[in-house]
Amino acid sequence: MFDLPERTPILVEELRAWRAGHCAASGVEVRECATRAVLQMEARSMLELERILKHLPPPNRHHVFDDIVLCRVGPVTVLALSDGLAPPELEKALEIGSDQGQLSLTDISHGVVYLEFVGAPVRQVLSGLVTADFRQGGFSAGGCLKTVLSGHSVLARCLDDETFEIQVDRSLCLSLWQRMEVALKRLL
Amino acid sequence: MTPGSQINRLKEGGAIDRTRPLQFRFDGKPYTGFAGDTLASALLANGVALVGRSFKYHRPRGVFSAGSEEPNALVQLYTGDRAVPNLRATQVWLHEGLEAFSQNAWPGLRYDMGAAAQLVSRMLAAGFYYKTFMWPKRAWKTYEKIIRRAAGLGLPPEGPDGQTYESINDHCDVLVVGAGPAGLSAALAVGRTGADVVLCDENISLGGSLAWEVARIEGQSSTDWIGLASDTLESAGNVRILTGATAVACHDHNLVLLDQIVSTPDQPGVSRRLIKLRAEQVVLATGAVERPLVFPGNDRPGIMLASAARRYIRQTGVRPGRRAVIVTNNDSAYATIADLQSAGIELSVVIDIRDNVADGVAKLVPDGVPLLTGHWPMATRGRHQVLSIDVRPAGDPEASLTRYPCDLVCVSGGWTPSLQLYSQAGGTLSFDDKTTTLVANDAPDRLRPAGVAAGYFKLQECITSGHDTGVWAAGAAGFNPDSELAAEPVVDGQPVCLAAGTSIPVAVLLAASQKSFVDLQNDVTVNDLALSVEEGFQSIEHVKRYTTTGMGTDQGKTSNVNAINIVSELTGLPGREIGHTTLRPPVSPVLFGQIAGDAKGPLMTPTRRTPFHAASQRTGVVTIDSGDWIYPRYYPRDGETMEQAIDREVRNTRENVGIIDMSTLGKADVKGPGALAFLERLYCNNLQKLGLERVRYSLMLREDGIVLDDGTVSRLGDDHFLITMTTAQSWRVWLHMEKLRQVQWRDLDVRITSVTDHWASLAVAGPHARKVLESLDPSFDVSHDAFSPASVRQGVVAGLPARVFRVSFSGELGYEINVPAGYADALWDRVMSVGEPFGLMPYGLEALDIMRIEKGHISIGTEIDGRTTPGDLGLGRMVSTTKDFLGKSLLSRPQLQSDERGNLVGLVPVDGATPIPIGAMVTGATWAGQSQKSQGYVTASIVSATLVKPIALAFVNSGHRRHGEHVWAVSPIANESVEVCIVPSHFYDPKGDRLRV
Repeated sequence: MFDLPERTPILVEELRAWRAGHCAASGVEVRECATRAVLQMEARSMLELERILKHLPPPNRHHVFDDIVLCRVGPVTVLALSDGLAPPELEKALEIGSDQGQLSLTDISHGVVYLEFVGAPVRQVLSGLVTADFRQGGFSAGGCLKTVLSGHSVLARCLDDETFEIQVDRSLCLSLWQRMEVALKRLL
Repeated sequence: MTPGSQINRLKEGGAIDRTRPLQFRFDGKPYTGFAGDTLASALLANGVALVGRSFKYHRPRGVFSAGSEEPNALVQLYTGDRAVPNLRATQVWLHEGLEAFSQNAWPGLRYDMGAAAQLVSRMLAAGFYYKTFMWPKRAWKTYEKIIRRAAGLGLPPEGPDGQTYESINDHCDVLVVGAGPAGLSAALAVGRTGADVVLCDENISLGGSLAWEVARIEGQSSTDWIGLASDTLESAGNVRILTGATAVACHDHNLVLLDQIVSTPDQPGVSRRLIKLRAEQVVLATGAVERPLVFPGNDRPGIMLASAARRYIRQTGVRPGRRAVIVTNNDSAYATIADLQSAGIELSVVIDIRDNVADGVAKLVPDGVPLLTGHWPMATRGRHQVLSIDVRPAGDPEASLTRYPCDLVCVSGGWTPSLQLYSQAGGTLSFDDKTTTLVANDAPDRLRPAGVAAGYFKLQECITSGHDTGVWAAGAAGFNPDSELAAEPVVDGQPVCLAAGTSIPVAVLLAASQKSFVDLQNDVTVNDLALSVEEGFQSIEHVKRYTTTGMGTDQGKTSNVNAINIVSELTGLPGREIGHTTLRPPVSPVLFGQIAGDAKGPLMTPTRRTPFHAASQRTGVVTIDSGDWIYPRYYPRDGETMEQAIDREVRNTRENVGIIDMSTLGKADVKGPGALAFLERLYCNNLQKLGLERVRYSLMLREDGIVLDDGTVSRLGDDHFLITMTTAQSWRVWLHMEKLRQVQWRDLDVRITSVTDHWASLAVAGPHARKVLESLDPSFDVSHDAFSPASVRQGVVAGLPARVFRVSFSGELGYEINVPAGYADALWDRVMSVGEPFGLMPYGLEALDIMRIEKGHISIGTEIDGRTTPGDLGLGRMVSTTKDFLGKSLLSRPQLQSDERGNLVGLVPVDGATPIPIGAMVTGATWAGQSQKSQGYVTASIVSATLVKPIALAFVNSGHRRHGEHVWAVSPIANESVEVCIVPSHFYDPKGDRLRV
């Protein structure tokens, strides 16, 4: 009777307007990812986490392997992200196996939105908005950290020198974009 | 080129661009200046001596300094929404079309009615407002209006601020504050190591005092050395130079706030920026401020700091007067002589209050100009500009006064290192008897003063100190420092500033006929300080509060140390025992707009939108801000008023079926072997027997036994629970739980994950709710027996993965359908579609509130208000007596268990019709204008759409035992009294039959 629809992105109109109006002039392209599978994993201790999880990155770094990204966002907390796998498949691919009981896994795929900012000026713009150190030496490719961006709690990932991904709570996504848009328009 | 109006502009000299004349207005009158001028220098160039009025006595005042320490020349720029008050004319960079206005004067600057205060100045001594306006008592409201009108200096902009501001973050390895000789040396030393350096200065050009001092460094003139240093730093690639950027605060962990002037207000774009800079290491080369001398009549226009006179001459080619007098107690003021001569200013006399002056210094005084050592200035003359100064030998009160005509008095009372940032960062200050000023003592980690700020008063010492501190900072930041000295010894330089100690005795100042001002901005005199000490306010902190010395926009930069010295003399205590006042941020005023940056209007705070936001918008919702959330308030149809829409929504939900967005409720997954034990300790009710797929309404207490929050606990697995928190309290509850988990209950293996944003929650409520749910093709049996109240099912609903909870806040048969938030749109559309035959309509927060009051359900903020216990709320029986839980011990206190406490009850008007005022007191008698003993208060009141009568919830003392009793709901504010009857709080379906169908 009912089919499973596509997940609804948040910034359809806003990003369409950005691409049509200011993207080229600012040199910053913005994309929203609304289909990602996200598992939050938490162990009781770092030792447990290191024992259970393969490919574990050091704190505030992310590792990419196969179709999965592991982000170490806290001493005992890791996010597993995948654009190709659904949450159950992602859980399976992580090969946590019988040790799963030691590790809590929570699907938060729909609770967060990913905004990708690409362009030469992005680092400078984000540097001004976040409280963390986003200078080239301080936040390089492979880095991921929780910080505050214009008053919004976010997880930031540096993919390369000109590409940054911001994870924000779904409910705050539009609010964050509105602040980002003001800052990005200053580039014009 | 010198336009004719600039009568005091020198034909040559100064770092101004004479090819770029700029037109500006002051108090409506047109003037001309040059690019590179400040408003102060431009006004002086045009012969404008009178620029402001003092705060209390409205005395005429002129430009006193040339920097951020300016106490007098406060101006407003522009009018209307662009108006910026209280700017220091010494720091306003001239631009084309600038419009400035004097402040605190009516009807005008020259003739100010406020100056009448001088006639009654004897009645306006320090703290007069603590002693006057006491009688008659009823007149206080009138006094208050007058005082409020008189208080303050400038006026805020009219309407929203029309300028654009920015507030940004930044980081660096080493921050050097101040680009004078020490700062430049430090920046050069650090810059060579490759460290990321930020060099900031409040001026728009580098050099600090070197820009107006005569010195030779490394065989070059000081200006050439500045140029070379500047070129070296700019070409380094790793040094960022921020000019026009004042460091205004230094917080923990080297978070330094910089107030940067980005553009002039006439230009589009950002005009000012607040930079929140986090530096690994900080070098404070903040220099020193010249102190005034305190003597009778020391505040007239034309009296200015000697260093300021030098700056105006050398930096902007301005002659600040025609005939000058120097009054000093130290050697540094003698350097002014050469500059006065070069500007063609006649020097009448040099008055040095010291008994002796070194020969080398005395030789600087030209032949024919008297050098009066051991003399005191005793009075000045001149209304809108100083015209003369009277002098007599020190210690000889009978000696006749000698009068020297002048229009410029250059004063110097020594130097005060600028250590505000240092102190804010945790550095300690001590009083140095030799220099009679505060000096840096123990430096905090990761921060060092350099140059004059560190107590090095000679140029060579400053440069060496700057270099050494730069080397230290680079090393401390992890960079390999160059240990070689950056600058060669000074070949030919003058002392920058020297010790001072002598001042005119306080007894002499107190006996003088004219006032001796200590704090020019607040009109604090020596007499005020003496009165303060006499009345017992001897601590410098108390003296400050009693007299207001050191307050205001200049924060006492020129007055604080003089006040300490005078209080020291008055009390007989040495300066080191007087201490100093707290040097609070900001060092200089910061515009509110800068603090806000882009966070204004709709972007003021982050706002949260529910997953149903877009769908609700399509349905024509009217929203309301509820905490961070934008929440559906009601859904008007066809021209309905709010009341009509809410009434319809309530009736439809009671009679048919309604849906409401419940996504804002906080939701957390609690997992792990210790999850149940954690929840058992967290909630006061028993959860041990909570079965799989069951839901329990639960109460969470604070440690003091007061209710913190309510919500549901659902068991989704053996070690997996989902808890809900009220929208407004969820952040607080979250912190509460994390603290317990991470700090207090570390024995429990439990993890908490917020899933508030992951799940979209839509409540379906009303007699037809089950039919709607059935129409959504659920993958589980939803009959009453199979899916009983307080249960949860996981499966598929409307083709979507879902959790469905059989719970209700409205009092009707209800289900909360939770789906992953990305499917919210689909769920809304599908529910609306299948619900149409059953009369389904959305309802908002207002209708929900009415229905919960009818049902007697409690709500956060009204009934759960941080004062109530479970017993007060009628939920005492929920509290477990068989287990331990947070808050249990203190909940057992007799006061919290007393029968006399306020209990939640219902109220109905005795006449059945009169609405009960919200927030009314519950009393034993009607309101007759006299205070009465309160028996409680009304928390919520409505005219029930369902019951068609006014009802209210209230806390009434011993209310549970008083059902049927008549009392009064009294609102003195609304001047209303309603006789009410105490009834049970459940007005609608008290037995809950409608839930169990």
